[in-house]
Amino acid sequence: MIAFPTSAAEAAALLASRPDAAARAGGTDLEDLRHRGLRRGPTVDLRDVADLSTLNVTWDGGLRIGAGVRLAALAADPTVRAGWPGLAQAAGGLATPQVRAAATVGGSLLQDVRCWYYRDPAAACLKKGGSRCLAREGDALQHACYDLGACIAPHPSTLAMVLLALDASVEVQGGPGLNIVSLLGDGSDPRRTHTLAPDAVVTAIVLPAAPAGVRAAYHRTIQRARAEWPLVEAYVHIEVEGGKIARPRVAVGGVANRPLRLLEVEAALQGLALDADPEPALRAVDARAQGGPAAPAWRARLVVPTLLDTRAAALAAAPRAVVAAPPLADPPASPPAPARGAR
Amino acid sequence: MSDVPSRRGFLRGGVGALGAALLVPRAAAEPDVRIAPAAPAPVAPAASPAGFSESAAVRVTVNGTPHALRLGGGEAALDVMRERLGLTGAKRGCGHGACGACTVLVDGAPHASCLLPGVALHGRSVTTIEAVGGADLHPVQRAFLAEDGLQCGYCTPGFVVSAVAFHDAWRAKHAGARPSAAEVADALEGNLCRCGAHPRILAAVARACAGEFDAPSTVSPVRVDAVAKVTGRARYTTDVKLDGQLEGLILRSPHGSATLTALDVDALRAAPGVKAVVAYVNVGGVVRFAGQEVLAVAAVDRAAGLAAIEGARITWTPATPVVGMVAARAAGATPVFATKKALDTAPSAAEGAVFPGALAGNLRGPVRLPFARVAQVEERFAVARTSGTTYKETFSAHSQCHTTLEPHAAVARWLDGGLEVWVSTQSVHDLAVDLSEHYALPTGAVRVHAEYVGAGFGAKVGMQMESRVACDLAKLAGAPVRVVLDRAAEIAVAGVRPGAEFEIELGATADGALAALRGVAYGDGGVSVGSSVAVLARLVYDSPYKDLVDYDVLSNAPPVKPFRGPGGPAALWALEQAVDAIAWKRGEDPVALRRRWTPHAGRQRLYDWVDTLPAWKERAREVGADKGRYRRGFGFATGVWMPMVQTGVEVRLEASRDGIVAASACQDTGNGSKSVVAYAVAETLGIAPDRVRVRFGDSADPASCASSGSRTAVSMGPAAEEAASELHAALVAVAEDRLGLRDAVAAPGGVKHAAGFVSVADLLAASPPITVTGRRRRDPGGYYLPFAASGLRFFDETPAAAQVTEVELDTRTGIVRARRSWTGISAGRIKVPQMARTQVEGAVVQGVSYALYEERRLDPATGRTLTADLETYRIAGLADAPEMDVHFDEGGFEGVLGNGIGLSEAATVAVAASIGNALYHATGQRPTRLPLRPDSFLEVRS
Repeated sequence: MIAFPTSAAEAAALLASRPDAAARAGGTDLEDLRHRGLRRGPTVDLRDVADLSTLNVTWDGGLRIGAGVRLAALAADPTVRAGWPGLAQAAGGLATPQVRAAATVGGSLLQDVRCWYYRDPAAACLKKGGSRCLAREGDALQHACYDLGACIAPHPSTLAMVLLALDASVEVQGGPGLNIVSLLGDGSDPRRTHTLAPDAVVTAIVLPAAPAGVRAAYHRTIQRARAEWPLVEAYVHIEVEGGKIARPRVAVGGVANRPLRLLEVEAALQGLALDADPEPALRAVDARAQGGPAAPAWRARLVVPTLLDTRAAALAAAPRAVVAAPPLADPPASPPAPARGAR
Repeated sequence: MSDVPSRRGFLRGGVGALGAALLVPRAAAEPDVRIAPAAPAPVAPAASPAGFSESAAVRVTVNGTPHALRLGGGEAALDVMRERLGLTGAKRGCGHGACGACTVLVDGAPHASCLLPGVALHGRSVTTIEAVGGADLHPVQRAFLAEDGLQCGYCTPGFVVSAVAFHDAWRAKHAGARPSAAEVADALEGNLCRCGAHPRILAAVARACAGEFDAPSTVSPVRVDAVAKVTGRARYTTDVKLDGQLEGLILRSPHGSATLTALDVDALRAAPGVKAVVAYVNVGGVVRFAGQEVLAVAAVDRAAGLAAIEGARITWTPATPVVGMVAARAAGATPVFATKKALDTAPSAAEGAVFPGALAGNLRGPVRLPFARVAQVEERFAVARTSGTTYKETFSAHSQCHTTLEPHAAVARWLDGGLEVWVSTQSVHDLAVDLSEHYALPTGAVRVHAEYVGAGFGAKVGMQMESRVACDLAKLAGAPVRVVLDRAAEIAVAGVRPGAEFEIELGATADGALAALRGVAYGDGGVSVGSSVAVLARLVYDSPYKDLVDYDVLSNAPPVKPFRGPGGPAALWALEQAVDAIAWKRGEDPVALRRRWTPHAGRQRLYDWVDTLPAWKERAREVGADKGRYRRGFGFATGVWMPMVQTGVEVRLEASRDGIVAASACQDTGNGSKSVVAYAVAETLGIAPDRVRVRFGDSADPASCASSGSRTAVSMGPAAEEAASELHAALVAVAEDRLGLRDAVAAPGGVKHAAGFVSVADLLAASPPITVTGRRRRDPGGYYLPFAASGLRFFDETPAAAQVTEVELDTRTGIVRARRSWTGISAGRIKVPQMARTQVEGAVVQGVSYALYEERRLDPATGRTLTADLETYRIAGLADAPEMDVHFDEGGFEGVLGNGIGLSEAATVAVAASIGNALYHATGQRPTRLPLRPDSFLEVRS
């Protein structure tokens, strides 16, 4: 069964009317889950919801990204590339062109985990209401190396990791907004990758203005050259003051049941000379690996290498341009693609 | 069991472990077939709650034509194209957006149509492969033809569609500039090719972008069936749709080991849309691996079949499965087969060529070859340990899945007592015979079609389960039934190369001669037997001082199948690293050492060639020369394979004023066999290859061989040449008898006579239709063994490969990349060099993919396959292929008709070993475990 609401409010009402219903944007995750029999309820298709696909600079120089903006459009958007280059890199660096063309920002943020037990229709894992995490007892080759909750499937969203570093907030239809930290939660509910209410509809992501001169990079460590879920991924941005790193932001993904902002690494990097060896500072993260699940311990050893590469890429990046704030009327920027829909 | 083992399977010519294989009859596992006649059960549609409806109106423009459709919310855009609009160019490769075979353009942008809801197309414009190009083709398509950027062709429409979008955007922005390989790989990162046409695809797209194929008349295809493949017109088994066709779905065991305690067939039979049910495991029967076929239903469509299977009332008493070789060999492990008699039902890993072996617990063996001086092996090692050089190590290799992009598929229908089957198979002729025997039909009452086959690599030889299910269901339902495996089943059960553990010991005498070789291998073949690995180590080096022993380790894993050089990559992973280790220990060049150990002329010439390679010559002569983050290393390994031919196969030429058709019940799996025949006929007659149309894939045509064991070209080429010679002779007769020309003699392109020359075309125009048949004769040089089985013969002279690979290890992350590859091939004369190069490059790509990325993993608790999609089961993408050079040494093989033999397997078996040797060169650490995941090398820090 399917419904095509024309507004976010209508979509939320439809979701509320059927607890088993799922919202669908691009469908790149949901349809795979359906094919595997992991979703069976009605579909609330966001195709016809107006205004989900706008992308514009806010009155205070921040960025508002409609939840229905396609990842390909986000990656290609000149404003994003100039002002939030690490975000553009991340959007263009995940999945494949065929997926990025359909997947949306909202869907990417709210997608489900890729755990091979979870996606196996016959496996009753913790996340599907079972009594135990099958990966923890079984084969956890592709799983979290930091043990932060009962389910050890890595959080799948690259965008969530970048948005965490950027202090994003999330607009939700008919309700108060959430900041990204509360959307992602603390991982204590093994069934969910986020805390959004089942009948809530994310309408937009809002980023605060980033200072001019920020240098940013997104990087993922993968074994094949392309098109692969990350072993570890990271976002680093820094400012430079007097030849030293200032106000760094560092986040990693692929290592835990939620993306992680690495405040300890940020503290260690703050004030570090640009030409100083950054590895000791980055090694502050290693404390997190203590007590983690043993199976993918080698993954934890890829965190510092990934941070080293990401920091180097950030240093090499052009400083962020000043993005002109729009006129006060705040008209929506024209959407770069006929965007609707998720991954 | 998912395979149908038979003695004949070997006779038809699978890849036996060796020439001198002993034939062990194997009883087929044959559970009762339970019959459930059709029981129509209409369902009343449920009322939809407010706001929801069952379907939606969609207006979409497809290839310029507007369509108004009503679509269900779960219907994928791919199914809209394929099932509703009959546009079958886009393929379902993986079904989860990882392979790109389903790529279509939506408003100009490539999309994965398997994940794209059909309703998302509302108001949009779709372009499928069918609308790309037109009569003159798109420049990208022309480039694919000229560069030979394809093999089986199943991924090709998706690649072309993605490449066209990239090309058009690139041209608009960069005019005539040529994009880099990295830029092309970025654009095509969502497309996967299993055959390994990677370098050809990269080159084709780059050249098209540079404007090299703008003129319509600039190319003729290398491969005779390439136009059909680049246009999406090639119809594969998965594309077949007959009137009234039902969809067959298979219910598989979720347990690795269990007894079926209850099954309500009546309920299944009564499920909505179900027309027939067949059971393959009876109540009280056991399953021995997760994924084993339990029953199948034929339903009006896929959704109805899936719903029926999901609702099946079935209960099991599960047992704890034995998963992995450690558990299987542990003291007190539950035997997977309780008795030797039960073991007789086990499928064969080697297409039937299985040596007898004792059974103790889950260990079957030893299977030991009778080498002449086996008794002196230990003595020789004792001497080598004191005065020479020895090396001993245990190597392990993982299980690898064939995962052909066209999954196993069959469409069956019964007509007037006869059976007609479309099937994705490597053995059209043999399968027809198998089916006629299985269903007790007269020969000739079964007709098998396989015009295009989306690759096989060994997983599609003989009668496989999908054919049987389709035939059983079609018979019961009285209607055609299609069975197509989904990707999860394809990876889990449709084809796996066994993993192995190989303890190897190698010794050299003080003067550097091969002292002795000893090896014990444990094959990880799941429920199947015959995973020979150690015996393949006999192939490379001549010495009577060998002691090679194989064991099968039985476990509750799916059966394995032969995969391109079956146990070869694992055998050489150990052997060729051991030889390399001996060379390092002796302080000797690894090629120089092999020169002494392999006196074969062909290999000596390959070694000469290796010694001329600048990169190899200039490599560092010590290990770990690079000290920085990235460390390069060069590795060498020799590959060999068994030289096989199947005599007696036939090619019939049907020549008339309409042209020349070469017909045979052969198949082209992407190996280029159609082209081999076309070129052989054309060359013999002295005409252009495109003047010969090849009709393969119909069992009604003359008997042919299976495409396995590197034997198709060597078997079919000479048969085609003989047919063409006969045709040429017939044309001489036409010239003399019909045209009254004097002194007529065959000449290139026609017939010379006293007064001039007449072309083949003119002679055919003057003649009634001519039909001649050529046959593969015995080879003048004789064979290794005095007897033949079904025409299968082994030569003395083996095809060989010299493989040099340059790797780069990132010591920071442990990630290994294959950067460059040089492959020398000694297989005699090469019929179609450009196509042979594609074949060799594909072999190298598959070898790299095997060594670095692929790894089948099972859940230790249940035995279920965890890597059941192309996201977790990772095959090499375009950017993972090294830069490649291929060299053909065309000498030797004088005793073989056509002076050349097959190269497909020889070219792939040594690649992993060469990477292992290169990593040792780079680091001084010898890798022993495959695959080479980053954790293998995380210890190496600059």
